[in-house]
Amino acid sequence: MIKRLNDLSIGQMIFVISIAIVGIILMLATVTTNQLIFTRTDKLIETTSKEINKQVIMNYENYLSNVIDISNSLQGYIVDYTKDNKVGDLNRLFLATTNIEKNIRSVALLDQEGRVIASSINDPINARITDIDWFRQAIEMVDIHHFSGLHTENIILNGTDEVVTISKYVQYIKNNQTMNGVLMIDLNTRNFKTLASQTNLGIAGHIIITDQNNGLIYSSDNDCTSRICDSAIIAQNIVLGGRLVNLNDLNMYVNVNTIKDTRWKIATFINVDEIVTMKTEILVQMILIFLGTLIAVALTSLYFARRITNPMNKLKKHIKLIEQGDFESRVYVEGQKEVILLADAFNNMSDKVKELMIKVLNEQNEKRKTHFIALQNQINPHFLYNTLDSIVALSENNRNKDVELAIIALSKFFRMSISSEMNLVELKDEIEHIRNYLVIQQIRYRNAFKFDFEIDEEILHHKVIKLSLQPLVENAILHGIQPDEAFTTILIKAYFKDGFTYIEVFNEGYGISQERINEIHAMMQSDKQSSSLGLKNVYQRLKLYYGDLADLTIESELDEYTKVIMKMPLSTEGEL
Amino acid sequence: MKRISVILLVLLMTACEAQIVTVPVFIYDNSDAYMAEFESNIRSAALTKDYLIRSFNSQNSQIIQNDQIDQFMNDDYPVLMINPVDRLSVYAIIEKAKQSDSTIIFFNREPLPEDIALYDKVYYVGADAIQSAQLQASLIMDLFGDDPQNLNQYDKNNDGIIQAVILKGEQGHQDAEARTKHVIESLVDEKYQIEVLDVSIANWDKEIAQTQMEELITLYGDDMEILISNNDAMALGAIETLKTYKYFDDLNQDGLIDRTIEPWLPVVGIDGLEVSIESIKQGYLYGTIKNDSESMADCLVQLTEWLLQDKPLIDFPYKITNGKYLWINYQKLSLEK
Repeated sequence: MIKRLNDLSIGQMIFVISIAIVGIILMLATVTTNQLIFTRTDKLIETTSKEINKQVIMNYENYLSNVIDISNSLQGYIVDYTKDNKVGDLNRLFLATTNIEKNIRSVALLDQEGRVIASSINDPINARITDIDWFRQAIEMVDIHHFSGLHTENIILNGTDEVVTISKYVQYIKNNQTMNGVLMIDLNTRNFKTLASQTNLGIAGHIIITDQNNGLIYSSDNDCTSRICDSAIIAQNIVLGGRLVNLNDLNMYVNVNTIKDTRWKIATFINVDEIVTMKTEILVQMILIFLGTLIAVALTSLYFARRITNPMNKLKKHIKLIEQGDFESRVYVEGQKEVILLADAFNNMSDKVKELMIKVLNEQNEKRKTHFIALQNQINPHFLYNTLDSIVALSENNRNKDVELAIIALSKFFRMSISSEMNLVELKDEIEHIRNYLVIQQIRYRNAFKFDFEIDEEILHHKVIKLSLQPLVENAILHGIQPDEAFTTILIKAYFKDGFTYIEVFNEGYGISQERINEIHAMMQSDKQSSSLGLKNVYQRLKLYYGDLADLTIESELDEYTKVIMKMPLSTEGEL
Repeated sequence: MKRISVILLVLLMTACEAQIVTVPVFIYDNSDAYMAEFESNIRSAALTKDYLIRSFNSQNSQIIQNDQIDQFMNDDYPVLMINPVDRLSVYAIIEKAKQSDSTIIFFNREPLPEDIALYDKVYYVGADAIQSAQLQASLIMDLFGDDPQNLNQYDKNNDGIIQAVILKGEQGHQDAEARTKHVIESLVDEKYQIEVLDVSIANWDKEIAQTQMEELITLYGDDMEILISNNDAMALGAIETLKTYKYFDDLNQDGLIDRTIEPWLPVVGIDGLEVSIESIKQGYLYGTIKNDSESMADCLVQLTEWLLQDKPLIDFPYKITNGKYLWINYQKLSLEK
């Protein structure tokens, strides 16, 4: 598992982890909230429904127990009155009862053979009462009240009204003898209907009352007219207790209960569709919120992961380029601050590397050029021919001393030029080289100029760039010699000031205009190839070796002098 | 993954281990003093058993009881003890038990025999109302001497007939009807002649009996030779009134009625409440029939244990009639014997 995690890229990791964390937390939150809401709503549905159910049942129980109370009282009076042979009073009592209690349609006391002993009825009595269920049940089970289902009045012959009959085995006295009989009370059904409609069971909410054999006694739902209707079957399956059911696409809370003192069961169907639907709606909403948040988190984390990994990938590609030697291309990234900084640093680095490489390359080039120039100077045949020619002239004039000097100078000059081991040489060696050079040139130019050195003794051992003076002196001779005048002077000064070594090459002559000086300066600093190789070469080597601290400047006054000043910091031992 | 399954397994095991069977007990109404006593007897009898009792007060409402039963009739509760509120509603409870395969022991209120017959795993522990009446009659016979042809001095008018007033419980109530009917029948069967001066309905209630008694005294006064009450509460209420009218008179103020020298009237009840036993000791109440809730509780608790352990009931210490009924005998309580 952990190994697999390590295999993931940063982007995938960020994505997976944020999705996992947010997903789990959201899932927990959603589930708990739902659970909470659901339990609450379920509890609410249950308690509310049960309360309503209780109300309905209590209405029926009150009504029926009132009838049972009346029956019990009547039983007491039956014994009293029949003992005293006051059957007439009993008739009046029954009639009074129907008058007082409007729900009671009729009351009658029957003997065991179904003959009327007393009754509140004027119509002819059904002669075959003994066949009727309520009569038989009363005789069979003596100690309870029997409640019939809704039926057409059958105590009289041609009854038309719908009634419920309550029958009870009773005892009465006839000729001092205790006799068995049946007390019957017919209830009109108006109250059954009123009681059902008294409580608000919601749209399509209804009640059904069944007997102990699940026979339908009463239903307030017009669609339910037999024991096999949906409601009745549901009630039959529940037997007892409360359930949430779906009836005709409506959510109903069904409570099945018994009605006290009867053998009846009552099922109340309470419409709770609104609450249940609300519950589903909440669930759907929560799932939507859950998914929405998850998608939002996924997108956000994807975006941020991209913002980090995309620049990284770019950098990676860039590194590949650098590996292949491409320092030119730059990497430009968009993203977080850190990544941009990283890219910038990267660009800077590649700039620096490139700069360094160019520097190294340039130095190599310059070095090569210097050697080339030096070599060119050394082997310049013209230079050699002229020098030798001059020596020949000296010899012809028997100036043997001068010949000797010239040959020695030439030989030293070549030795210095040829030895290319060191890049830096001590100032005294460089001066010695220049001196030889000047001696030779003096001979060549037949003493057209004089030269002099003003060298600070203390800096004779300072290191200077090898062969750096020769081009300057060469220029000084070239521009210093004036054909019309016998002598020009070349002065070479070297001194130490403020931590810098200065070497000046001074010559008398026409001088150079300031414009020309500026041009020369610009030429030295530019990368372009130029005809005046010597000066530029020196300048470039100074800059390469010492950096910005070193400098090469030209001063001039027209028709007076020209001075080239080379400035370099006190050189430490180092290698180019 | 492995660790999680181990934790789950441990949890599961502890859950199983903690499973001690609980037997719910539904009492029709705890404000009925007799049932409250009954409940505490069940509790103390079950203390030594390895199941728990959890009792519920149905507050004299079958709706409440049905709801309670609906919650507890499932696999977790193999046996339920039910003292039904409405004995006619019991058939629904039995059908429900059939559905969930629960065993029910009804007690103290007898369901209809046709309902008991609906299901095998139904038992009834209780006392036979008729027996209480028979024992009450036997108390009366003890009082009047054992010879029905030759009643003793308590036949005050010496006519050989017992003049009795009956205090009846609720009109139409099964027990009230049975007790009233059978106490008379038992006496008649033993050839005693009895004249019921009045049957006064006092709804099992002490206060109602107290008021009814005033009327009875004015109507029958000294003609009353015995007062037969369907329960103790009404008997004790009547005694209060009889005291006021000096039918009981503690002449020597010792808190006791000495039946040889102080005026008294025989009153018999049924139930055997603690207060009744006190009253008997003081000489007021002549006797009562103890509805033995202690024995019934013991029988209930033992039967539950046997059923939970699936022991064959052939060896059950209490007699089982028709495989379903466990009748606990009433006991006569009086100063005689």
